[in-house]
Amino acid sequence: MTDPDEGPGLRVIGGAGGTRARIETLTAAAARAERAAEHLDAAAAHARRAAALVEESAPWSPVTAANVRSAAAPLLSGWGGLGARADDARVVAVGLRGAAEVYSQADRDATAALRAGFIVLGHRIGEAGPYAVLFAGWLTSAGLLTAGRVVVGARLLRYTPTIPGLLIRVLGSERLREADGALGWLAGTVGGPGLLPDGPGLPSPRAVELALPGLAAMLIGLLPGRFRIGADPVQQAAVILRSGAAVATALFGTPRTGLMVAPVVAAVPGRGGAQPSSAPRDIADVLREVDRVADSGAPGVIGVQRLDHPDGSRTWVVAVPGTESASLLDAPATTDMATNLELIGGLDDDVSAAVVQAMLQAGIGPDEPVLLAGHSQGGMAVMRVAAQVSETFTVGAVLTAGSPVGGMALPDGIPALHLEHLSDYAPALDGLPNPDTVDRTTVTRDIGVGAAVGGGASQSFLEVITSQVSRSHSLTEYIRTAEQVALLRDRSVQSYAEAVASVLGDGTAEVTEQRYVAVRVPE
Amino acid sequence: MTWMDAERSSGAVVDRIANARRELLAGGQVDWTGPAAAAYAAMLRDTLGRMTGLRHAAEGARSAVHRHIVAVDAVRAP
Repeated sequence: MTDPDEGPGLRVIGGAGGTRARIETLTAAAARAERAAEHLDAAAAHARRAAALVEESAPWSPVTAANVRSAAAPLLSGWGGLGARADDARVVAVGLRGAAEVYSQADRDATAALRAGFIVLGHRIGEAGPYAVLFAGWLTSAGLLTAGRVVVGARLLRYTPTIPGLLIRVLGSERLREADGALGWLAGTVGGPGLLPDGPGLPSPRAVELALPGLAAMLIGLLPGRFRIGADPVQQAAVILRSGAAVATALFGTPRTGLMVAPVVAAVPGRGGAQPSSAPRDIADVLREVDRVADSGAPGVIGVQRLDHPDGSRTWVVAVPGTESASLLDAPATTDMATNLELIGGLDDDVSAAVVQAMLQAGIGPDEPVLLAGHSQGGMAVMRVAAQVSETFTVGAVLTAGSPVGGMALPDGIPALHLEHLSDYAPALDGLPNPDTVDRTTVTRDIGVGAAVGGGASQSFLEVITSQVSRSHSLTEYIRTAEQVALLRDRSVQSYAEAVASVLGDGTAEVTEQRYVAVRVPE
Repeated sequence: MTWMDAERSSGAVVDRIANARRELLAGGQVDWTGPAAAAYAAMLRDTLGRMTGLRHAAEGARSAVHRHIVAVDAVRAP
């Protein structure tokens, strides 16, 4: 369903205007209808008592008693009186609760069933051993090859003067290609120019998100011994991979179990490590700050901005960049793949620990609101930090861009905005969609990489794909998304924007910026 | 003087109806475009509308009870 308040290519899920919030509104309305019914029942009981008492005294004043009978009749009527209205309210309450339940079930939808099916299938194949995995791979490849042959055959057939050729030409017509749903998909497959349909490239991130738990379950099934599959096989697989990486580090590298976090001393005379900068006004400015921190020249840098507002209040912005090293073995830089596995696996990680240390070193007060923002891995880290420090600091809002945070919990009352691109694989890597809750809003943007990254004839298929994947996850593109989101009139987005404004103020704050660098060291 | 309780009860009817109206009024602000919920929200507002008549009836009954109590007291006065 397209929301008129959503911008072009943008889709908003969750938050104050999301399904969960609306379901809660329905449940609250049902509770109110039930309370109304109780009040009306009590009113009916009082009316009956008053009528009975009047009857007792009727012999002393029959005329006024008759007036009372007449006046009370509509209240005591079985058809339209208080009791009937109480029944009406109860029916509405039951209906509203039922509607809320139906919407809630629909919200969980068939995706959950499909995901569960993939998990069971993947685990069965994995447990059957490597040959079964190879066989399943061969079967899938053979299936895709056969499907490809059928599609090419159908597209060739349409050029022949036969009845099937004519039917395929009609089916693949431009008008039917624009249709929604399965018909549009089928028309697009057999219609259009060339021998191959458009867009046979990489699978969509949504498909990856759906299939990833099954692949993780297969990996777990392949392991010797029996591993029980939990609700989140991707998390389990991440823990297993991280454990393997730790063993590999012990065998081939240098275990670095210590963590040092120190302020970066900037080359600004007389100001120590503190640097002045302009005050952020919205989430796009906050992501620009994350970008500047990422470009600071060294891995593992965390940015902390202190905002001193004209009214004397003080707030903070913490900026955490994404992955900067592909290393799975312990390396000095904390922003590596090992940290990604730890964050997805729910294990203790060095980036979150470094962010907490930076916040403590910066002197953030317990009552001073903080906006935590991060890109990619940084987004996962700030989610983890928000969950860890909600008792120590006042987390005013969380902002993530291109981060797989669907499986990460956030304490109630902390508003979060998750920016995702339709073609970005990173947010899908946890194999879970983001939850639709009152506090968590997800905005998905279609950046149209297919159209924009066509490339010249000189670009190879691999170059085109790499370029698409890279652009979809780039922070520059997420900053553009944030700029568009800031203009949305959507209720969820506006509710989040109010929370952000309570931290950033009106852009007149005096900003003092400090950066911290985190390094792993051997103990 | 048990019939004096009738006045209190008729007052309680008015209060309870007012409370019920308040609840229904707040519950009727359902911001939902789904067909089932919209239908029930409409029913809720309809119930609220019908209660306007009940509120007037309750106020009329309270006045009638008050007049009756005054009349009974006048008759029974020594």
